[in-house]
Parts: sequence; C-alpha cells; structure tokens
Amino acid sequence: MKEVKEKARYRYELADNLLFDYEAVEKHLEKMAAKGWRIDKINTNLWKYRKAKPAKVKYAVTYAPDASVFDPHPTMNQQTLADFCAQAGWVKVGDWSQAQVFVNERENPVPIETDEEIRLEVIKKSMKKSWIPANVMLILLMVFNAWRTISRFVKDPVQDLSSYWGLLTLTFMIVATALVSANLIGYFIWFKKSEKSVAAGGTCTSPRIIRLINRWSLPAAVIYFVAIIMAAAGEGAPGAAMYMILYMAGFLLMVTILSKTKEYLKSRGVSRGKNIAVFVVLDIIMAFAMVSALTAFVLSGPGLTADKDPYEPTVKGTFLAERTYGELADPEIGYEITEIKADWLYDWCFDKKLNEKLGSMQMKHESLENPHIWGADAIYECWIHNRDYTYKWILVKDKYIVEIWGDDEIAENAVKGGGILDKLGI
Amino acid sequence: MAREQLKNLTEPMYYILLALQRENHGYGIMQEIEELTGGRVIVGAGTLYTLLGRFEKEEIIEQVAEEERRKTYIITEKGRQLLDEEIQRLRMLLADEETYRKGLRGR
Repeated sequence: MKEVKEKARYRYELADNLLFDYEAVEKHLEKMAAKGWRIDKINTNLWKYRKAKPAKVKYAVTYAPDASVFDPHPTMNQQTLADFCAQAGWVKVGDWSQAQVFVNERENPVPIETDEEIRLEVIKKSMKKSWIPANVMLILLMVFNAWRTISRFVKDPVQDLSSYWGLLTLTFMIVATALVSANLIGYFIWFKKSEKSVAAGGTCTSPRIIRLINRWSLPAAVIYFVAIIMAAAGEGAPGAAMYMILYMAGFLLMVTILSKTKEYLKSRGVSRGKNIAVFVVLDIIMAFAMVSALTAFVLSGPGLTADKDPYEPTVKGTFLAERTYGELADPEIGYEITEIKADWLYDWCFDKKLNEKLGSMQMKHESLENPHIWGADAIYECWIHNRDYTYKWILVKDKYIVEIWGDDEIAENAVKGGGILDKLGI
Repeated sequence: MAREQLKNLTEPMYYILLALQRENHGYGIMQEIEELTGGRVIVGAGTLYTLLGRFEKEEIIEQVAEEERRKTYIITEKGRQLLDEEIQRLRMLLADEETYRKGLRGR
C-alpha cells in the first residue's frame, strides 16, 4: 500500500530536452506545476516530479559555463549565481550539465536573464564546454558505423535490398546519423538566428524544428529497433535478433551503472577529476566486457542464423528485390536466383554482381557467345586469379540473375549441359 | 571580446557601475538600479552575475567583502575612468543634439 502511495506521489520522465533549449524546459516545468507536479530531482537521463498542489509558478533556466555533471558540490560560481538568484526570489531546484533550473513563487518576478546578448553569450560558452564536444564524438562514431553499413550495401546491394532486416538496418544507420547530426546543426542554426535577432534588439529565437525532431527521435529509434529485431527473427535469424536484444540490454545496463557510480561518487564528495577518471575507466572496462560477452554468445550460442537444410531453398524478399538460394544435390552445385523488382535498380545491382570484389581482388568475367543455346539471355564466366578456376557463372534470363558455383567441371556441365534454368524453375 | 564590448557600455553595464560607486552587493545593485530608473531598467540576477564576473575579470570592479556568501563589490580606479568616459560620451551626445537644435532654429 505504501508503495502504491509512493508511486502516486512521484512521477518520472525521460529527459529529452536539448541543453540549449531553455524555453522548452521552462514551459514544460510550468505546465507540470500547474497540473500539480513539481520537479523534485533532475538527472541527466531521468527527471523526477513530486505531487504538489497545482500552482502557477515561474521557472527559469540559466547557465553556469564552468559547471559539470561530475561536480560533487556546486562550484563557487554556481553558488554565487544561486545566491544572487535567491535574493531575487529564485530558488534553485536542480541542474544538469551547465543548465541551472530555478523556480519563483512570486507573481511577475524579475526574470533571471534580462539581457538577451548576455544570455546568448553564456549559452555559447556552456555549449562549448561539453555538449558540442560530446555531440561531435557521437556524430563521428555514428558516421563511422553508417559508413561501414553503406560500404557493405554498395558492395553487395542485393543482400540488403532483398531483406527487410537489411533495409531497416541500413536506413536506421543513415537516419540515426542524420538525427544526431541534426541536433548539432540545429544548435548552430538556432545560435545564428538568435544572434541576428538579438543584434536587431529582439530575443533569442525558439528552436522549434530541432525541438520537434529531438522529441520524436527516441520513440522513432525504439520503433525502428523493434522493427529490426522482428525482421531479423522473421527472416530466419533468431540468433541475430537475440544478439541485438542482448546488445541493447547491455548498453542500457552500462549507462545505468555509469550513472549510478557517478552519482555515488558525487555523494561521497569525490572530486570532478577523479569521478571523470573512474567514469572513463569503468566505461572502457564495461564496453570491453560487453563486446567479449557478445562475441562469446555468437561463438558458442545458436549462431546468428538458424541452421537449415541447404537443399531446401531459402527465399528472402522485399518490394525491391527477391533472392532464392540453396544447393542442388544433382548436379552438386550452389545457386542464387535474384529478381530485381524495382527496374531502376536492375542495372546497378547487375553491375555489382558482375564486377564483384573479394577483399581487394577484383572478379573478372567473360560473356559466352550464343547463350540462347543454353536457354539464357546472357551467360558470364567469372574468375578471380586465373581463368583455369571459375569462381562462378552468372546466367541472365528475363528479369532473373542466376549465379551458379561449385566444382569446376560440375558447374560448367550444369551451365553448358542446358536445362539448369528449368531445374531451378526459371 | 569582453574588452572590446566594454568600449561602449550597455544600459545595464552603465547602471551597475553607477551603483558600485559605493560598496554594494548583488541584490542591492538590482534594487538600486530599479529605484534609480523608476523600473525602466531592470537587471536580472543571471545577467548581473555574468556582468559582475566580466567586470571583475577586467578589473573594473573588485570584491571587497564576503559575509555569509554575500559578496560585496566596489568600482576600481579603472572602472571609474571607464564610467567617466561613458558619462563624457553621453554628455557629448546631448550637447551635439543641443547644437543641432540651435542650428535648426537659426535657419
């Protein structure tokens, strides 16, 4: 019963505010107070509210550029700022990073910031302290991951085009990188616009678009993530789906441990420098442990894709392309049939198949004359090092691209013996 | 950048320096400016905090006491000179306007 009461007395919110968007925070806290929820504790990721009598109060966010989330106590400057504000009726209710949040119960109180030029200057200094460097690091990391995913896609587009798992992962990487970059770009645009407005005697502007993008980023990422897991599980890769779930769980656990450790060290009065050092070391150790554990899962677990009878054809497809692949017992060959459903993608996909690259080695090919003898529109013999060893055969029939590989002689006989396309149902 | 900005004082800067010709603390400065200007100029706590920090760094003002975390400041010689220059500039502006008006009347 007590627990229920406890629950009813408090309410939690995921913090999704942009550090420089003071206006959104002020309005939101005022709205919450009017509904009877007063901000109780501000953490970087989670904001706690306590039940109170609904009231019309004013909130204000100002900035202390020298503050850090790792400080055990407010810095001298933060303290001086809080004292100045207290004398004007503004009571500090919390802070995150350099943002300092105050509440005033008086009617029509004097605002904390009365000079927009100074407000902008202080925000600029504060953003330079940690928000901009952290975002730049994150963007670099995202760009690196996106680049790896896009490189893989460009090398073998059919793989991703024929799988919703692949398509979703590819677009997720691009969209996530764009969204993270949008935050930083949004800040600079907001700053430039505000600078212009302030120079003309106005106030800082409202970062409406980036605020909206930021607000929808997390729900969109969660929906995307769930969709990717479902697609992976649905496409015969339950191991991969489990891997992603474990990865996300591990990541959330890491964030929680780091946050709790930071708060604990702060409560014990550990200095900013030592707290940052512990944070970084713990972060590296946990990241290493997580990668090791996940690698062990991949190596010892069920594997990323489910075991399947190779003679049973596997079909994967989307609205853009479809792949059917497997092995034949007679003749003993491996095959992959690709159907590009989007005509505008055909030439590019076919070119990628014909000019495949294996690491740094370029595949070579030569077309066979009179392919109609063997029932195809075109036939290509492909090899890597020298022509004595055929890497694969590519047969083109209507909208289908058929790849065949196996023992040199068997594969060649399968192609030149005719009837292989019929056998594959084309 | 700060030194460059201080070549011309903004209204809040001007009144803060005016209020610091005698020892004064944060809230005292805010109140004095409001009273002096009849509420026309109001300096918020955050703005005052930033400006005092900048002035202190530029040695335009100095801290003279701190009692129960209440810091008291006073203008320095350098600050007084800056303020005098600003007052001189403002007087010149008024004088120029006066000359212009007389000129118009003489036409």
